[in-house]
Amino acid sequence: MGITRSSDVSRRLREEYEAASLNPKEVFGYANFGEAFPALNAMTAGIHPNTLTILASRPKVGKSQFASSVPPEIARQAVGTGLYVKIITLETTVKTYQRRMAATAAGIPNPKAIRAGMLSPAQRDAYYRALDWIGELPIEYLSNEGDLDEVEALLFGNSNVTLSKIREFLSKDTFWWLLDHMGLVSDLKGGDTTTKTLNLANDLQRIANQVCAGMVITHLTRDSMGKGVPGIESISGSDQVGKNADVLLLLQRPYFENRNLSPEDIELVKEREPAILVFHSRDEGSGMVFMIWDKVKVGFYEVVLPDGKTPPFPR
Amino acid sequence: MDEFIVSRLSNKAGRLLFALLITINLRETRTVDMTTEDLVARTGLSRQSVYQATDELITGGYIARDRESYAVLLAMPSPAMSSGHSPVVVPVEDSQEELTTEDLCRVADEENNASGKVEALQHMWEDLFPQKDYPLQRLQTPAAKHFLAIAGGSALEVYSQVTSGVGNKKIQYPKSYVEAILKARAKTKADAAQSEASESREIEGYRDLARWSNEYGNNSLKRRFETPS
Repeated sequence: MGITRSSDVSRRLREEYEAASLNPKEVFGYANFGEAFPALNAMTAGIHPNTLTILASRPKVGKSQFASSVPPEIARQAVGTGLYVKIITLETTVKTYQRRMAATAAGIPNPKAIRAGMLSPAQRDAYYRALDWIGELPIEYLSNEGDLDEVEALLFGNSNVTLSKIREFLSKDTFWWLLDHMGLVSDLKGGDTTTKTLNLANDLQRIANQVCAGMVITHLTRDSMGKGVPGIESISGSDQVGKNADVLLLLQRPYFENRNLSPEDIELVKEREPAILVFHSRDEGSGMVFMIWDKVKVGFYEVVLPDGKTPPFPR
Repeated sequence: MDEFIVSRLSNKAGRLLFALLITINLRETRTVDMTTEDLVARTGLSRQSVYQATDELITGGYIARDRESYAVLLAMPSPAMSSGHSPVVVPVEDSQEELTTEDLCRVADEENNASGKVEALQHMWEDLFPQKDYPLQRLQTPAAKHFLAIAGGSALEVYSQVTSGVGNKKIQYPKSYVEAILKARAKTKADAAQSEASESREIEGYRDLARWSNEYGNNSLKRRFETPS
């Protein structure tokens, strides 16, 4: 916060353009979401310094599953910078989180098969390669002490990780960070849940703006189900969380979220469902990314369409 | 027949009694087999009105119930009896004593009998808000019809919602209380129906996307270490 003259701002904007023109590119952020998400990268133009991204979906849609594919790809871009991708995992332990990231990178459909020791030789090799790869990436964790079950994960503030611990963890050497998920941060200031959520949203925005860009995972309300493409107002706890975001990613699986599917609809999405990643940004506009939820591989995949084809998104 | 006593009978009970007397006079037999359906046909009343009228005649001492055979005996003096005949026996195999208020509501709904529904709700009201505790708050026909309108015309719906919503505590304004319960449930139902309808409408907008998922899903980008499946 301070008083700035427009002449200073103009000078900085000229410098910004000069630097950009030396290496012109459409995805001009300091990092991107990885090669698996070209449309998302194109739409967001990558990850930009000091921005807060909120990723939200209705419960059980798979936002953590989607998010787990992102940190290793971003960490790959941090190699050699001396900085780290920092993951604050409050719903699961570090082992669970890294197992999930490796399973996603290896395309293993059922991560339980890893713990059961029942991977095929090819899957085992892919899993080991993914573990080795992640092990060499600059990634650090701040985690809860144990895994939470579905109900525990919905209890507000149900972790031993406080905001001050998060602030300290992110205060130096951070390339990018991920908080999964914000409802579990403990010991928050404020009276009721809404006030606490609002205060936390403000604090997280401050960390992103002043320290480093990051992504926060949160829920959309159950009430928002059956009401079309979700918007900022659907974010759980307080729409302040959405207003604080520089980038808002809303993950939607319309067939999963719908309770009244006909037998024909169930047959239609037997193997894969359409998924939509709705994108809103302060600076880069808005749009939608066409993805699928693959029920065999159990994961989100961005669909590459032939040239000239535009996905038939609902209006 | 005592003029004073007859004047205290309801119209329906009077119709039933009249039907019984005619039967006695016409048949002049010791026993007359009449089912509830027979009485419905002869009186033009609904089944539950026959039950209620039977009850009223028993309470009034016009007829007596034979508990062994679940029959109703005509107890009052009649031309048939005075001429040496035995009382008429009216079988009431579905006697009202075995019918709960819920059954009354169900029967009224099945027969789509508007007055029967009102009577069933008045029964319910008497159970929930007895006259001794609520002397001034009887359920009149317009109020019963109003409740039925809120609940989509089903007496059973009113019954189930009201009985599950009213506890044992004393309620100061039972009609307002019941109306609030019914309106709240009606709103919940309407919201659920609207949500279901909007979900059904919503999914229509996604069917093309689902077809594209199948058509182009194989074009999705592979994970970094994914092996060919």
